[in-house]
Order: sequence, then C-alpha cells, then structure tokens
Amino acid sequence: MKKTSIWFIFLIIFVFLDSAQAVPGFARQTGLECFMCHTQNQSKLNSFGRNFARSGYAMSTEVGSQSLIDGKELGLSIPTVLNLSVMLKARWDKGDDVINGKGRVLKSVDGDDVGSNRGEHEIFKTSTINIAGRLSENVGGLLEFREKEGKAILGGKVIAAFDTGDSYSGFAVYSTNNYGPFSGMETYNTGLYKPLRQFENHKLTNAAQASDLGSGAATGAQVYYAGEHLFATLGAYVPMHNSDGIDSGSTAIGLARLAYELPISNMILTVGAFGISGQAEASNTIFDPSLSGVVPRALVTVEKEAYGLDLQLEGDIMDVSTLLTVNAVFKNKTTLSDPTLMVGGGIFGEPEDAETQAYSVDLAVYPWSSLGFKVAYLNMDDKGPHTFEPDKIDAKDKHALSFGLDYSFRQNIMFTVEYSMVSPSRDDINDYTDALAVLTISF
Amino acid sequence: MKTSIQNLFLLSAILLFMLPESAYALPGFTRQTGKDCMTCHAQNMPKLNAYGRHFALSGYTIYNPDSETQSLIEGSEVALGLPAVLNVSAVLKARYIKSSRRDGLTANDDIVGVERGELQVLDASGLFFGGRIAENVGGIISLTDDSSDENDVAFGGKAVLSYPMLSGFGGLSLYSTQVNGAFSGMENFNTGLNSPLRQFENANGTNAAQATGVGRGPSTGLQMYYGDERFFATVGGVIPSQNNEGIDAGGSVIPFWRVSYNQPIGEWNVMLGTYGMNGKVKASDQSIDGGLIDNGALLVEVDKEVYGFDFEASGPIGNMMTMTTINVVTKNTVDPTPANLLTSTNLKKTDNEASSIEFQINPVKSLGVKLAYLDYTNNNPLVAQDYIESYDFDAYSVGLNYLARQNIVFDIEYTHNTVKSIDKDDFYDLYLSATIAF
Repeated sequence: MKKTSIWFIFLIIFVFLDSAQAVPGFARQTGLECFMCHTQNQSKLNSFGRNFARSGYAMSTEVGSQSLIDGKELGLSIPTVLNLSVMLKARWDKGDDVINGKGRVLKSVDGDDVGSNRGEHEIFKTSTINIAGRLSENVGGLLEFREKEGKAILGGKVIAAFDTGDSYSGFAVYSTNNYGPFSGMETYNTGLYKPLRQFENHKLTNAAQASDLGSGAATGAQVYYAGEHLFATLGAYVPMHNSDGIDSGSTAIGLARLAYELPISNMILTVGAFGISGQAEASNTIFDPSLSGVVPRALVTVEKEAYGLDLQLEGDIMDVSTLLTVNAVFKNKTTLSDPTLMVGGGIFGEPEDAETQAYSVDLAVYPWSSLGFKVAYLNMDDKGPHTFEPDKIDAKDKHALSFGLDYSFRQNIMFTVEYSMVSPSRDDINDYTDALAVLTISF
Repeated sequence: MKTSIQNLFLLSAILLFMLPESAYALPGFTRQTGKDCMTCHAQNMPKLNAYGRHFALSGYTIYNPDSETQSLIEGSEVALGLPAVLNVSAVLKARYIKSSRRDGLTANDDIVGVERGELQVLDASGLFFGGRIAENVGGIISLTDDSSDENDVAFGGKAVLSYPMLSGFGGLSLYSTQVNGAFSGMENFNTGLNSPLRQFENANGTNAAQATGVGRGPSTGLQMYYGDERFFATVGGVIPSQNNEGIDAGGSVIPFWRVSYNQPIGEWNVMLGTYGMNGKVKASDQSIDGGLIDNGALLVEVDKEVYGFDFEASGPIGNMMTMTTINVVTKNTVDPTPANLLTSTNLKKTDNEASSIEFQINPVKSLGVKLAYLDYTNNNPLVAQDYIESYDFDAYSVGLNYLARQNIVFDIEYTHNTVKSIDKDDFYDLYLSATIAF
C-alpha cells in the first residue's frame, strides 16, 4: 500500500507535470473570481455555481488565460492546462463534556479531559489536493487526493454533460470514501453532498450529515437533468469505496432526487426530495478492507432505505445576502444481512446496524460581503437497535443550537467560528458544548 | 572497490531513468517570480541568499506582474489576488549511503542497512505546492513519503500572512511539519535551524542543530515575525509533534524565540543569531505520539529547553563564492513525564549539546568544495533516538557538490566519526546523492 501510494504520486508527477505548471482550479479555468460561483463564502454554491457543476465543470470563458486544444477528426477540446488546487484546513476544537458515540465523555486513565474536551489543534486536518475541471468537450471531472491518518485516499468523479439550451443533461460516475451517495451530482447547500453545507461542525447542525445520509463511502453512477427550474437525478450505488475493486456483481442500491427552483422576486426558493432504497451484496473484506486477514471472506448484504425533504431559500433581504436551508431526513436505515460477518475490533456490524431520523434549519445572513452570521437548529433521533452495542442506544438523540460567523479575509481564505449547545435526550448524558475555530485556505 | 563502482553505476542508471524532460524546467517559485533559481539560492539549492530570505519573508507572495500565465485573478467586493497558476514542484532525491559504524548486525552477524550500503531512491522526495495564495498570503504545502511503517504519506506545510512594514516584512506563520523542526515556520539562514537549510546532506555528522534534534523532527506551531535585510526576530509557540487528526494540547504550547542580525559588508553578509525554547506542553499520549485518542489515554507533559547561537558569513574570496556557518547548541533537553511512554522522535528523554562549523567554497559556480567539523556531546547515554546518538563523538567531513543544472545537484560527502564516550571503533559515513527539483 505504502509503495503503491508513493509511486502513484510520482506517476501523477510524471504524467501531468507539464499541465501542473499552468492554470489550476475552477477560477483559473474560467478566469472568474471565486464568488462568481459561490454565495456568501467559498464553501456554498450560487445558481451560477450550480450551472457550472451541471456543465460537468466543463464551462470555459473568454475571460481567462486558458485556451482549448481542439481535435480535428475526433472531438477533443482539452484545456491547455490541467487544473490543480489545494485546500487547507486548520482547526481548533474545544468542547465541554463532548461525548463519544456511546454517550460517554472520554477521559484519561487518571480522569483528565482528553480530545476536544481538552482543546484540540487539528493542523492541517481534512486538507485535500484536487485535480479538477474540463477534461474534454462535454466532459469534466474532479479527482481528489486526501491524507487521513497517514494514509493516502483517492476519490473523484467524471461527468458527461450536454447543453440542451436552457438545461444540462448528463451522467456522473463517482467513487468517494467521504462525501456520500449523492456526490455524483448534487449542487444545493442542504448537506446532501457533504462539502455543500452551512456549518463546519456538520454533525451538530445538518440533518443529512448528522444522520450519516450525506456522507460516507459510495461508488456509483447518476443520470441527471437540470433545467431552468427542475433538477432530477436517478442513480445506483454501493455504499463502499475501494479502488482495488468491489465485487458487488450486479447488485446496487437505487437513489433518486428531485428539486424545483421557484424565483420569488430577487430570491430563489428550492424545494426538494430525495430517497434511497435497495440492497447491495459484496465481500465483507471489500466492504471493510481492515477485516482482510481478520475474518473469513464472505458475502454480506447491505440494505438501505432513506428518504427526506430539503428546502433552500437564497437571495437578498433588504440588501442582506441570506441563505436558509432546511433538511428533514424522515428515515435513514441500514441493515446488514449478517452482522457477525463484519466483526472488527470486537464490534459486530457497527455502524451499519443503524436507523436515524433528523431535522435541521440553518440560516446565514451577510450584512457585509465578507462577514456573515449564522444560526442552526438540529433535532436528531437515533432509532438504531444497536443490537451488539446497547450502550449506543439513543446516545445520539439530541437537540442542538449553533451559532457562528464566517469572515472571508480573501475570497479564498475564510475564518469561521462556531459554537454549539447540545441537549442530549438521554437522562444519563449531560448537556455539552462544542466550540470550533477554523481557517480554510484554498489555492 | 568493485562493489562501490557497481553501486555507482547502478545509481547513475537509475538517475538517468528518473530524469524527465521537465526536470530541466524551473521549479515553483521561479515560475511565479520569473527569476532563475540562483536569484534566491546561494551556491546551490536549497541554501538561501539575501534575496531568498526576502522572498520567504514576503510569505512567498512576490510575483511577476508582467507574466501573462502568472497574472492574478482579482476579486471585486472581497479581495482575492489569486495567481492564475498554482505552482507545483517536485523534489526527487536519490542517495547511496555506506557506513562502517557496525550497528546493523543481524543475529547471524550479517551486515545490513547502511553498513551494507543502502540505495535510497525517492526517499525524502515529495510534491510541493507553494507560493502566493492571495494578497498578503502565501505558503508551502508538502506531500512526502512517510518513512514510518504505519503511514504512507506525510502532509505538512505552512501558511504565511505577511505585510510590508518598516523596511521589511512582518507577519504570522502557521505550520505543521513531520521533518523540519520547531523553527521551520519562518527561518531562512543556512545554519541548520530549519532542516532543509544546511550545507551538508549528512545532517547528523555535520550540523549541531541537526545532530541534536533542535532543527528537525515533527512540529506544529504558530510564529509571529519581523524581518528585513539586517534584522530578524520571531516568537512563537510550538508542539513538538505532528498529527493532522488533532493534538489535544489545550492551551499549552512551548514558547520559542529567535533573533538574528545580518550586516552587509560590501559583497559579504555576516549574520549573528541566537535562539531558545523553554516550556512545557501537555497532551494525551496517543494524540501527541501520532495516534488516535481513545479511552485509556494518559496525559503526558513534555518539558523542552533549548539554547544556542549561530553565525553565517557568505561572500566572495577572489571570485570564489564562500559560505561559512557555525551553530552552537549549548543546551537541548527533552524531559517527558511520565518518562519512556512516548516513542516518537523528539519526544523521548534527551539531553545533548553540540557545536559545528561548516564551510563551502565554489572555485567555479557549478562546483563546490566543503568541509565540516562537528563536536557532539550526549549527556543522557541511556536513550538513543532515530538520529540522535547516545554517545559523544567528533565528526570531520569533506564533500563536493556539482550543479549539472541550477536545479540538479550531485553531492558526495565523506565523514570520519571519532567516538569518545564508549568503546566503539571510529567509523565513516559515505553519502552520494542527487537532488532534482522541477
């Protein structure tokens, strides 16, 4: 693994070096500033940004310094540069009685606070290197390299998009270990696609994130249509990410998502619905590579059922940029056919032995272009049976109220401060708070 | 002798295959500024000259406004100043190391490791994303191979906020590194306080800050600095560890400082500096040792104290460029409580001191001849770390480096080590290395 990874890095160097000298990032590809596609700050998309994504990141302009290399007999239209970007995150996390998944406040053997309850420096956590943008005529993509706990993780998507006048149609093939089943093509800021949300502390502010619906490993394909008002996508995926191969045969879990945009004065109201239903079957050691050599290889079936609604209201209210997002996850249930086949660290079938329900409302207002204030409310109900770990029962049930502010020092450099007050439903778990300060740099 | 020639041939063959055409192009900063490598580097990369220090103090934000491909994308309501190019560089290193130290015997008395002769191709190599990030902000991000068995890659770097002030620059540097040490947020002299900036490849046998561990190893910190042509001062706080997932040190960091004064005299620059670090950091053993926090963690306090001073003189003798660097580490102690719980480099109990002098002269621009002397004293003979020896020794080194191109350096170094405090034969280290940056 180690040698494979480093050689892959150097393969990238050798293959793409010439391109790497030139213009990276979507801003570089289009020649447009970051806020052309982003609303309020660099992490959220506006309508232009949604269209850019739906174009398969293939949109180019006359503004930038990049030109295209066109084919003669066969189509090409490849940019003269390969676009590279880096995103850095430095975080300071300070909690007060923050609990783990079992409802316990972690302590040292001497009873001292550890982890975020002690105050945790995370420099540079969740940082990524992206190779992204137009790949050819009607084709674009995003390849992400991420380091996590010293391991190299690669994910990404390729999108074929066709401009049909006022709309785009296309399909996306994707594989991610982090961004969830909708990551092939999802462009609203309601948290269905992990990067597109309002708060950094996603587990305490967003229903799709808290319920683990809009995050996690997924490999799949989506077809989509995006018109002036309507966005619709159908797809199929397996809830795993393994670049070495997934032996799921012809099994896959279906997904669907529908959204309708309604302009109201100078605002846009979007109402959407989403659903997941089906079964996928694959080897347990493919599902969880850490089990390889630990347990005998056997097929395991994963059944998923999820559905919900989301809403987004964006625009100016009295010249103040406003973004309201609502997400309601009515059900997100995962069931394993045989949890004993997923024994890792003495835990049977976790965390797939799960069922959650959650609602969230997030609001951000920007009195100034560079400074915004935000508030969020989350209600989370963990209905999971947790058959093999009963101390997890209802441990995630909670109400959470969060406040925050974002300051864009530059369009690509943002300071975020957030504070969450959490009231767990279980009587034996105390209320807790979590403060987060984040520096995000993209270049 | 025959074996050595075979090894040299093998190294040459590998280097030949490694050399892509792009290796002849100029690396990231030269692309951004439009200036050649030696505008910033003295004698050979990566040693910095006065302009190189100036560029680093600017937060790597200086760019070429006349370049079409390196123009800036400006913001309208919120400032941006993003370069139209992300400058990526690769640094490839290939080394052959042979030593007679006889530490690497197996149970069958087979000689292994560097004692047998070790070819290290792509070790210490990496990708570097760097330069201007936005108006007043720059940085370097590295993605390198991790030498540990547990990890594939190490992700590190620094982000620098820099403003012109007085006759220089002032700013902040936030950094996290696996290898470059506590001062690496902003340190630009070639005395070894910042690991890449030294005269010899064989850091252990030639440089006091490197041999003691003061100028290398994992660090996460924040520095505030001011620097101009003559004066440089910085204060900061550091945790002698790197864990991107998080280090639960709370509000505890180890304060450090560094002051230097550089006097230009004709074509010469003469710098005298001093540095220190004194404080304690407290965090759970797993997080500061690179692991994950879980139940059963134990808080560990690491008390670190460092003092020293350094000197650098660079300028021509006749037409031959020279550089002399001196580093004296008068104290370097690391005292973890409870002791012996931590395994990471720079966190084990340490007590050492050292002094070194290094000199390089370039009779011609592409060829350098260098000498070094290191006197190392270990006051805690019980514990040895990866690169910190558990005995006293003197080391005498000679070397040559040759610039095939500004960005391609071949280096040969020989070090004779005289062990003083224990019964151990003198030994030699031979380093052959090639570094390519593109």
